[in-house]
Amino acid sequence: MTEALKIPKLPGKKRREAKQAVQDALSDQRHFPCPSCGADLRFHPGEAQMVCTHCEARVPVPDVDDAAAHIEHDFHKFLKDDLKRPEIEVSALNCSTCGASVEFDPDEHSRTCPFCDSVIVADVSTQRKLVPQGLLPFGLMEKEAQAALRDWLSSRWLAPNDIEEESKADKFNGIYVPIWTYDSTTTTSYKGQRGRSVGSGKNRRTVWTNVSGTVTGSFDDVMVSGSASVSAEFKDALGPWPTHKLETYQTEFLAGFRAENHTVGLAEGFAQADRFMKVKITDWIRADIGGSRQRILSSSTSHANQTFKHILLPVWITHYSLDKKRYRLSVNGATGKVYGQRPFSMLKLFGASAGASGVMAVLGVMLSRAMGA
Amino acid sequence: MDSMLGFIASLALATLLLVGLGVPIIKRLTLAMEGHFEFSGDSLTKRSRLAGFLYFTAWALVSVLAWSFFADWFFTGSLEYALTLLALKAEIVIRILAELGSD
Repeated sequence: MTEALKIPKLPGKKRREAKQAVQDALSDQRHFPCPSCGADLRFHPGEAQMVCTHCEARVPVPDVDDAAAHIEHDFHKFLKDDLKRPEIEVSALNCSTCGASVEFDPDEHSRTCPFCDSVIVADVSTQRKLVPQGLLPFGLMEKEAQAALRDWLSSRWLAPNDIEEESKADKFNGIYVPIWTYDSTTTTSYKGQRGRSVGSGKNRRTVWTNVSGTVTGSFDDVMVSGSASVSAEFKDALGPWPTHKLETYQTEFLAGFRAENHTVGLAEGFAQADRFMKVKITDWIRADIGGSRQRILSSSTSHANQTFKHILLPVWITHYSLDKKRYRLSVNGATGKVYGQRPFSMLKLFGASAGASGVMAVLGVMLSRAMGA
Repeated sequence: MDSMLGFIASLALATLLLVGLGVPIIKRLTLAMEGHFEFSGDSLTKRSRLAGFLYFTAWALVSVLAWSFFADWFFTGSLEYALTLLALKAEIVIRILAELGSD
């Protein structure tokens, strides 16, 4: 589990040396020197291999069996620490504004949070991080993400006319977002009431009958963000994610990209998944009760066969400014689906409201005439 | 018409109010419609999207009633009669909603 291990307080020079030593060691984990010229290799989404930033030499990502990416791990065993999962130490920048914990690249001079765009003032810390079992590699290049963004902006309703030309997008950050996926078989006992309408007109009423029962069902890969800075809306809006294309975790896929560390723990994540499951279970109970109306008086759910996967999903994140306002936009790094904040044109909104009011006025006059005023 | 000036002033005020109230509602409806086409069906945000459609429906209903009130006032020339009709229409709408709710 994530555990922040701050570099101990040392006198100025020693502290700088210690920090540098940690960063040097960590940067080695992500740096792949080109066999031809020694420059850095970066993962190339379009070609699914690493490409040298200097001589453009191609180095394929080692072919590893994908099975490990799809293995379901026992939830309870993991919580009891019976199931040992490999951990690595990473250097992370912790954003005090949105809570993101993004892996720190010593070569990167920008210290702005890619999620909320605020300047990160928190110290660099090393964290013990659970190694994800799989990831969905980036399938979209930055240029393709930019094109998807332009299409998205131009298709916004009631947006300013010059949104495409006037908006100044920052550099895109390719980030792997941590995700927990949960499986569970649920058994829910409930007590409720079935409503049946009797009579007609003013005498119509609902007769309630007490009922009880049990509904069972299973959930497969309920996704929960492992990051506190990534909302459920963000994850849902960018979906669906082609998780059948998951690859076994290899650091080569991360070359040239950043990864966010999970700040939401396994148990905390399951609590969020449970909220989603409860919505579905309520639907199942209502269907089981039947009748024209249903009341659920009490219900109790037990989970069995609880398993989880810990994976990374690719997201291109950028911020753009328009009329001195900043907006965050995200692009699904695998499918190109865009989600983000968008501006509205006040003039267009006012026009639309006036137009809709005009339609209502015509309907109002028609209603007045129809009632014989 | 009891007072043409009163009628015009009331109509102008109601127009401003309804159009002004419509601006945030249209904004919410736009986001809801974009979300409807772009978000996955199982999204937890479905409720907030439904709220967007609901707010618009409520605004449209109030607007139609308000405009029909002004039309009644204009055609009959009696504010009292227009108010009586408005109360009657509001009652019909509430009864229809109650019936829909009970189903």
